[in-house]
Amino acid sequence: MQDTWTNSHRTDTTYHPLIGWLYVPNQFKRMPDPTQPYYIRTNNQGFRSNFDFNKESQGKKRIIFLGDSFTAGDGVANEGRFSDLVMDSIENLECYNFGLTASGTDQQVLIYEHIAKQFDHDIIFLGFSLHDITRLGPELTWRAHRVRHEFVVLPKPYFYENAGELKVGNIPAPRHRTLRGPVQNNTGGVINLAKRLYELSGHSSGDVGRWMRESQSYFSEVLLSYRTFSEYGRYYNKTDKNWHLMERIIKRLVEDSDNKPIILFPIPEVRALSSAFRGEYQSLFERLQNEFENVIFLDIAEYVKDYPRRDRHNMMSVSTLHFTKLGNIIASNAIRQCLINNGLV
Amino acid sequence: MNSKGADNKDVFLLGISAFFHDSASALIKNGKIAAASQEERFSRVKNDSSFPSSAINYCLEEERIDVSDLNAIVYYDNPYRTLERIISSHLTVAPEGSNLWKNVIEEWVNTKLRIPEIIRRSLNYDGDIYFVEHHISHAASAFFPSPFNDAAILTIDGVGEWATSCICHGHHNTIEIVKQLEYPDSLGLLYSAFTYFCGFKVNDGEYKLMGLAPYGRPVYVDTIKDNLIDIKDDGSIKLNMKFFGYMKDLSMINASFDELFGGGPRKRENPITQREMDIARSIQAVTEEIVLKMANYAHDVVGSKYLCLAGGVALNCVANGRLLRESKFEDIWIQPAAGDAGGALGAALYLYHTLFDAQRVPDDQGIPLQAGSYFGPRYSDDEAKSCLDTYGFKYERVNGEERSKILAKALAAGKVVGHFSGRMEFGPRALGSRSILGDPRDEMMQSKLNLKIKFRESFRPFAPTVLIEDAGEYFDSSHESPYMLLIANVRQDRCLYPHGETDVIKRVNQKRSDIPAVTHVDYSARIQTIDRRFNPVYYDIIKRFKELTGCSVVVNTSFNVRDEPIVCQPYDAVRCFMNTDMDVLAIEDFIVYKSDQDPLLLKEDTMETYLKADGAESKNGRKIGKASTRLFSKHLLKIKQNIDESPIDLSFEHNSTQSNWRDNRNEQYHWLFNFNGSNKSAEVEEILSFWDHYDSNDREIFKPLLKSLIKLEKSVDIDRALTHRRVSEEMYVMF
Repeated sequence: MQDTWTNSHRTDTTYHPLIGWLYVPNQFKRMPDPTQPYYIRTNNQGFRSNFDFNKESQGKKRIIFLGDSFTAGDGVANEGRFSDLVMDSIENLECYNFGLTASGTDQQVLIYEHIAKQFDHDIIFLGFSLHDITRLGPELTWRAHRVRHEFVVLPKPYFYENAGELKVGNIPAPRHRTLRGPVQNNTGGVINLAKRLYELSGHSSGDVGRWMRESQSYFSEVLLSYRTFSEYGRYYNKTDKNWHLMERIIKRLVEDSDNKPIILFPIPEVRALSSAFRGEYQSLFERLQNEFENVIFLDIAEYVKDYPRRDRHNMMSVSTLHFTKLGNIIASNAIRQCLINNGLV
Repeated sequence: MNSKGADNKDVFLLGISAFFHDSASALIKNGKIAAASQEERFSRVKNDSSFPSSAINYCLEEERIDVSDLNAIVYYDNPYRTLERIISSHLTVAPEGSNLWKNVIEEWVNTKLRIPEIIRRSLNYDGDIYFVEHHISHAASAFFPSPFNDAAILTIDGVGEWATSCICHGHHNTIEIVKQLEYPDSLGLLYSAFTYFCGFKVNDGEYKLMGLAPYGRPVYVDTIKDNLIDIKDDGSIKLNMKFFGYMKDLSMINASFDELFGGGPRKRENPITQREMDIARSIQAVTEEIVLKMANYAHDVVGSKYLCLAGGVALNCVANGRLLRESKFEDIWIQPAAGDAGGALGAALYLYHTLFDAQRVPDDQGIPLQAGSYFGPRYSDDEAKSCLDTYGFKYERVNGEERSKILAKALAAGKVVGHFSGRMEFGPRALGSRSILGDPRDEMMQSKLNLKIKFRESFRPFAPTVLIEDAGEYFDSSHESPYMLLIANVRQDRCLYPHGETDVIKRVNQKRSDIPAVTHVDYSARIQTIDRRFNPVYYDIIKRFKELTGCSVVVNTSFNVRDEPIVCQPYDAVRCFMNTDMDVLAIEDFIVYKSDQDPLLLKEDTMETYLKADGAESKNGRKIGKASTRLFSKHLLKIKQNIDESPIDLSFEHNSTQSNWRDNRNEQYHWLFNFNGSNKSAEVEEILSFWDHYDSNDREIFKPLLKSLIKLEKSVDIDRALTHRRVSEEMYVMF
């Protein structure tokens, strides 16, 4: 009986003309995740952080974290995110998290250009779901309207190519919000399929979601990855328009970085993590790493290979489709090791 | 950030009301009310009876705690004793009532039989879960926040487990039931039957019926008293069930009732006629008579000087006004969330004082426990600004002093102001935090507010808020009324006496006093006195208004439109503002003028589109439907053959001398939910242990029925369509 409509009564984002949206500043709220509720706080700059950001360096090495909801920390409290865990584990290190939920790579790079870049920093980290390759257009179909339970379509800034040049469209971002039909539970199709199989396996009643979480079966992983699996095709096809655009956007960040180290941290779905399979996307990011001296590709799927399968399975939450606490811990270990191995801290 | 609010020494109790009407959650911390809210404010479904997930989330957020910090969760009703009453009710009328039975079983199998399971699974909670007797929950909500150390407590509603009204005695940190009236004899159900008959929604429109009453004549009083009800001198009542349908069908009344009043119920779309006005006036008179008699009897049996009131009927402020003026009590105190929502608060307060043997919590620096009843969420300036910026509103930002000046000036200029400030109210009344304000001196204000802003019936009166120190200058009572629960008359020297007019609209528009917008046709007003200690922001606006105009009264109506819950968060407020004829919106420190806005802004987001969102179908309906038919024919009819008599006596005799009050049957009013659901027989025994209307031999007969019912419950997963079902508009939710 997972109530997917129970959301916070507080609206979490506000309009921003250059980014599309940012978090509402100085907000404290409880997120009623059905399995693991948590509190989050935003700072005065409109990012999820327990402290306000200082422009000048405080004598510590500083990493700027850019990315989507995985980096922002959907599913866990601020201090449970991999960025904060990395900060806690390394002396004299500050981590400023500029992650933004439901953002595309284009917006993440624009956050760097318009906001994050003003803050002294030594390292740039870009952590994002592979799913973000579908978010590079002029609008984003996002979460449900609080009351009407319909998808809300949000206009956003985006990059496009014009005569070989990368241009930015939708600046300032249009404000108009439209609704696009009733929302299915974001794991609804999966849950329904699971239910059918659950019944076929002899169960007559019970909590299918819980069974899926606890069974750790290959079957449940396949179901969970079902939603994002089709999007992987974008990476398999090297001539895909979206990958081409994504690559150019990342290169724009590289060019804007003053040669500071950039860690690329693409996050695959649960099956890839759990089975540690090697997909085609890795070679694309390796290509970027080979092309630029300051680019480091951190392959989480490769890193987790040595973890027990149970841990790999439990890195992702069925209800939020994001990293669990454990997932964040494992990710922070990977980042810490990457920083040390590359002599960055 | 994880929860930071909990100190190991703090005692946190979470109260829940759900699955009947107006579900809510309340959090108390060391006996003080930390947070409380109705689910409807978040879900935007009026009188939402769902499991209050959002309200609970808010309550925990307010204290920055998690469920693991709670000492216990407490539900406001004893479902097992309620089940006894429901089965008994069906047994009484069987073989009739099979359709109603089917409906009831579906709800019970999905929700009311599995309350601990729903709580645990919804909240991931593994701590203690208690339940408290329904009328004790009401009584506690009225007594513990009251200023009295010893008081009689009168609770009157539709029905709890068996009780429909209770006389209780509250003394320091204890409450006990002294007398109770039992189902089906219910003043609340009687009033709801008339609400339905006059074309208003049951569970919602009762206060509309009260508002209509002054337009009518009490010509049906004798008809009601001669046919429908027997009223004893002690206020106990007996209903003549020949006229009511609620034991057999999904209807409050039957054809005999229609016949008695010369035709069927008014259809909602039809205009209100003199018949409805006269009926409203008549049932109001009967209600007042009963409430007054009950209260005086409570005075005699309890022997206290003070009275506390709760239960849905305690929202009848006209009756409350008479209690204050005419009853034997020196003073009264009424819980503002008098309906089921307040049961969540009362259950938590009762458990705190009983389980922990806690002492009464003294006033906090002069602020009493109820503290103006502002226990809902607050939204920051950042949140308000973010909302306005998101939709491109033009606004100005002002500080506190400037804010009250601007708003007072706007009111004095005849503008209608939407006011959103601070923590939201708990209870059905807007008390200045989520209110629409107007100038009471404007004789067209009532019609303007009703027709252009609230989109509701034109006859409905508006309430005044008056500075507490000036109340005596405008009304014939200077008694504190912070929760808009008392009626007072406008002072005679302020009244005008126009000639009688039969047309309702014309009568509304007749100027009756120098504050016509808040003077009802009978020269009464449902007043709110405002005390600066409780809401300085709201108080200062009225104070400024007085400086400008000499008038220390404003019109205060809830910030919503017809059929919509009161607004909760900034988006609700701006949407309501743009879809009505309000002129100015004050949302925290931001002032928004309608004339500055793009008129199309948020126009598409109307209430009608919201209401479409609801419509989930029950997934287990067919399976449960078939099973409930079997339960009815196989078990219920068999029990009927084998049991001597039903505990429900349907005989009706006028002018009998016998009181219908019953002595209290039980000494305990709270229990721990303590079975784990794995053993059906144990569960049946547990349920039957609460039954007190059958002797032990008779209880045995029910075992097969209960076993089958539990088996059915275990065979289906919880159905979200039923845990989130909208409350009925035709039938009081009593099963």
